[in-house]
Amino acid sequence: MKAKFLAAALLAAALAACGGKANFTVGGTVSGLANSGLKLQVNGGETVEVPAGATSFSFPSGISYGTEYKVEFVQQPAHMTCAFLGTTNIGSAGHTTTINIQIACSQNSYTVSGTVEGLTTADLVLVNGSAGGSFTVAKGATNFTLPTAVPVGTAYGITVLTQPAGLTCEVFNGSGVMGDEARNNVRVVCK
Amino acid sequence: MKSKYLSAAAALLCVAGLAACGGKGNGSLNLGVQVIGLDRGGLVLQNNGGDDLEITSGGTTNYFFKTLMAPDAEFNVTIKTVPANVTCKLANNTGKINYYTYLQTSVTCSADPYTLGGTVTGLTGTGLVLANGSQTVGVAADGPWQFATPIGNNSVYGVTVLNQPTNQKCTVSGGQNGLGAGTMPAAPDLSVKITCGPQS
Repeated sequence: MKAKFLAAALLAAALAACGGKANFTVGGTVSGLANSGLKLQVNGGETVEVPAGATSFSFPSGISYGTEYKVEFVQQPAHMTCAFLGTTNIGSAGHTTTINIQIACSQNSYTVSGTVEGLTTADLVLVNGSAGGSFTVAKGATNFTLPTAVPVGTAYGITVLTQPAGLTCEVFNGSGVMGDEARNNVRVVCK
Repeated sequence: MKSKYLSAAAALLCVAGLAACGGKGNGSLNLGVQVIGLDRGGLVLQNNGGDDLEITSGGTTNYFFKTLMAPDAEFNVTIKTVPANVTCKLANNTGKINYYTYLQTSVTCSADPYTLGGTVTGLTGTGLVLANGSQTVGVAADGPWQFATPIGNNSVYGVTVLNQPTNQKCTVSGGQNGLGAGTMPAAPDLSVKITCGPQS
């Protein structure tokens, strides 16, 4: 054991002498981190909290040349999901000049859906505003789901763009602001 | 083996033949244009003042001019016709064509935006918020209202009450389809009516 430590120390010294680094910072970049709560852990030990709006992170203690590292999520930020790009969270210090772990985060999105009653004819078109676009509900349908999921904290508002032939449809519970779970309370009643 | 030499010789002859007739617009490279964000047809592009390339439908797609160009020939892509109520911008539209530049030209188009809004009547409570999907606007008193960000013509819209005012119920009417929804015209649409009254 002693010899091993000595060898490691010598190697580190030698590396330092010839311009190589002996100590590496475990860190990297984050994109899209809009909320707080992201917590990372390296090698099952040291943790670091990455604040909302941060674009980079690093663990306070470095690791020495040749040490393997594995960074994991201990906690995801509120209403968001972050992921490592590729396998940048796993590696060995010194394999590249600097350790660059890349994390991309995005706001969680959930679906909006509901029931349809009395739709006995075709061509009902609903719309979720200009950005959400329009979509057709088929004749005889008893339920529908918005084609695009809505991110947490974003408003939605479903209205009738085109009435089906010979019927008048009305939307109930069509508006809201997305929370942390899917919505299935919209009612479309056609008469 | 003999046949291999023969085919090589034939290939050389072919290259020589191509080089010999390598006049302007008589080459091997296909000049392309990336069209981005176009929502309708009617865009006509030109290269060096001719070779009309007509784009007949919307979408984000790559298009190519019909006439092949010789390597290193100069290209100059211009817009001949823009669809009505659309604005398009060219980028990287001049240069010498080669393997790296043949598809660097882009045209980014967007439908001209117009204001969406209307009027509120009967509002006595507080907290009224209207939505056009993800877009919202708070309304404090009777009178005109509008969304802050204008909407591209030809886009659909649909106005709903996101938050009812205290002790009141508001309903949406008007707009293009009478229900507060429609397709954005190439002009401001200030016809969405919000009528507020008792909850009942």
